[in-house]
Amino acid sequence: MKNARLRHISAWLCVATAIILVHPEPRSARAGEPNGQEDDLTALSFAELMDMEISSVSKKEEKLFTTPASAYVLTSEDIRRSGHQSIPEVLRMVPGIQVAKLDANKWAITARGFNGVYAGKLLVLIDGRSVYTPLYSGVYWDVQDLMLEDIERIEVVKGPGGTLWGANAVNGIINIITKSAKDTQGNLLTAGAGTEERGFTSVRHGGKLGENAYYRVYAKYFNRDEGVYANGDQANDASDTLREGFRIDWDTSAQDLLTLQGDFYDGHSGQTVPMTAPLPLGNHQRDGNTDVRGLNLLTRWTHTYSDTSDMSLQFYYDRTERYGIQLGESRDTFDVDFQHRFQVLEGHNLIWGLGYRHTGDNIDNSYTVSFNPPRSNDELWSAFAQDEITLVEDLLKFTIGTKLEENDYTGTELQPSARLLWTPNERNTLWTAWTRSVSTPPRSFDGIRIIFNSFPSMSNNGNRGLKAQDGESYEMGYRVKPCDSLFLDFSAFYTEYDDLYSKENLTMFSWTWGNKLRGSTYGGELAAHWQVNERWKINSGYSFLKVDLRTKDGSADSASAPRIERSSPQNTLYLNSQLSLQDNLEFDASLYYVDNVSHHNIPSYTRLDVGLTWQVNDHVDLALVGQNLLDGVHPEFDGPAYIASEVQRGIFGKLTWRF
Amino acid sequence: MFVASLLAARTGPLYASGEKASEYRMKAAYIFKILQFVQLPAQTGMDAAPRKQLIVVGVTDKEHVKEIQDTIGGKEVVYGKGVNYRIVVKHVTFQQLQEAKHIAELDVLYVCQHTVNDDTAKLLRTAIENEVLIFGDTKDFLESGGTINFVVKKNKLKFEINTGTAGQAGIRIRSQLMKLAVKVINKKMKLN
Repeated sequence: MKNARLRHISAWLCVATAIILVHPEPRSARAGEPNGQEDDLTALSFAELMDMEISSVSKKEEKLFTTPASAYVLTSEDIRRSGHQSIPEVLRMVPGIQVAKLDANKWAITARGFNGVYAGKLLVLIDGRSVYTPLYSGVYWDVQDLMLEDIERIEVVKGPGGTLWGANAVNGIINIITKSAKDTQGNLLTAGAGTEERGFTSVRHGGKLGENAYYRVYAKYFNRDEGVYANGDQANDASDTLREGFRIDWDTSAQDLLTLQGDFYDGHSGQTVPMTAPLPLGNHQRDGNTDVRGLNLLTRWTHTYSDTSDMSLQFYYDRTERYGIQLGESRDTFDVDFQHRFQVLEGHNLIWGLGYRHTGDNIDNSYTVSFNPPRSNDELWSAFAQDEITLVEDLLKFTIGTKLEENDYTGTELQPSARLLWTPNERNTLWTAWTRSVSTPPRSFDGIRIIFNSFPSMSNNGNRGLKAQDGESYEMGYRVKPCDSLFLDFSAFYTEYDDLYSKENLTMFSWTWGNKLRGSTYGGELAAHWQVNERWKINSGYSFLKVDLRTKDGSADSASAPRIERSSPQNTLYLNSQLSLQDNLEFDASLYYVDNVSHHNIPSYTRLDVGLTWQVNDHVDLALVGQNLLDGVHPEFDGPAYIASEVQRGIFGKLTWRF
Repeated sequence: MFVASLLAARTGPLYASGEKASEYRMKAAYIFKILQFVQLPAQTGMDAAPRKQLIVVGVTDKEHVKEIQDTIGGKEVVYGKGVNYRIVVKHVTFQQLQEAKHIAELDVLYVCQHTVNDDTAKLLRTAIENEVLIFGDTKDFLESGGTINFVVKKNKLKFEINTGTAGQAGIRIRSQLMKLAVKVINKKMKLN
């Protein structure tokens, strides 16, 4: 009885708190603004203006505040102070993104479940160029690299974004945006060495090409140590890569911006893989390097008609080469994308676009893994339109749109969405969304053959009749700024999946993929940013995930549902402190808690990274970083395609010289 | 640029690094207040009649135009003889300002920190010659030819004045305003 009353009281307290937080305040009495006159600062006297503090709420938070999706932004400052030296490691800081290291150069990264080395429901872009490989519907994280100092920000959306971004943006989108060449003028040199980061260096030069054109060129090299196996033996997964690139930004007129950029890389990623062979007959493991090489070239023209209207035309070419023991792959991708934004009527901001992509590959087969046909050319056509409708000025916005795609595997796919944003005042935002998204089958599920046992010969085989996986998501979120120094962002989701990939028997010794799995995921994400004072900032995040899958009638697959359900941690927690001890001395620390991944027998772990940076003068910084300090070694993931190794404690020093 | 952003219907960067939410609203309010303590050449024509009844404020950073427009756009500055001047805020690029017609239509130019480049000093000289009141928020802005420079001290917004460039542009600044400034210098520029 007492408990029931307590529940009753606490429920009312929650409702009352929500009403207080959400209730629109009179415009003349907004919290935190002197005299309640944020809307008319010109009415203040000079003395009042001079006594008023500048709000600590950043532009980032302002934009985030009115985004009707679960979004997070890592700034260049967040990246610099994290101590991380690679893009996948940086993503550990995003609440709701699950980052797990399989070996010293491979990562399994996803949002909202379905993790794997080639997690197929997360779309990753670098400056608008998709780095998702259609071979496996995943990302080769070992070759997605940049000079981290050149990254302006990383925008992450957790949840579906197919209406704008197309197939495979089912559970999240990661967009890595580099700085304009204009913002990277002068010279920069970084160099460092340590136990796991054995050696790294990068150099960049930025200059002017003419009156309104700027450029930068860079080169980066890293050499990373191998991990260790669970028995303590050294793994064969060291890696090294040399990368060069450039970017030119040219304001050809007051309304026109032309960007040209490109990168080239060449390196090696070590690994140990399971192999089968007919002669001598048997299964064994082999060490070896995968030679990785690639280049990309992107150009984009942006024309601004007015503050509410612009267009952009983008073209890129990307070549990827990977030659390892199991498989060799070369791939050429051409992509063209057009977008136009304009105000069609008062209160209607319309954006529409067209896209075309051609990707062709050439596979070097092995006995263990082979593709039929070994060469393939695939096309993707797309069109989208989205209207942002202002229902009530500064209060209520409704966004509706759809994407139409035509691909060579599943034909036509439609990905509509509807989002509602309510901003009752400047300190509270509520949003809700419904989205349908699809994940198209990778080329590997269409024509692959994997022999995973030599005798009797047992294999997985492709299925040319696969349908796209279907996801229907319901999301809601709430953002609140209780005071200028605190920003809280909650989101919750429920996604219903159908036609998920299952493994079905062909014969007693061979399997193929089917679409006989269905189910749902639900959970939530919380992010908090607290500017304690001028010198101390705390960022934190928590995510909860529950996956519940089942087979459909006619399926004998009893393994896939529990495998997927238990391949992602249920709870993750992140706490980051950025403290300026003095004007030229920074102490930063990050704590990560990751729940167990029971399918791979990975126990929960807590990771602590700390960094001390001394800004010697305006030109030189020295940093000392320790990673995984709580644990000498721990596993984070496992999988059938590679032999996993464990993550070790590491320490490194870094010099940054601007000249 | 909008291709590169995920959100807001891919229409703009989600975040412009290092900016403060209300900082530019406060700067806009300062511009409005300061305009009441200066006399621009456009309001002091030879026949003492106003040449126009608008004060056109050019802002070089597109990112902040809306905040400034929302704060002071359409507001009126009242001078003697009951003449009201309505404020118009517009985005101007450095490239546009190289053309005489664009700079000639401005009364006020705000050179935002993020847009400052090697050509700024030359542009400021041209603006002085065109009798434009120049605001900025960059270190050594006054020494480069600016007239009023915003500075942040202990998280509060203050301003500095260069009476030298104001005089060269034919702008009269009242003594009350100079008393409020945290620094006043008198440095004239060598004009073109």
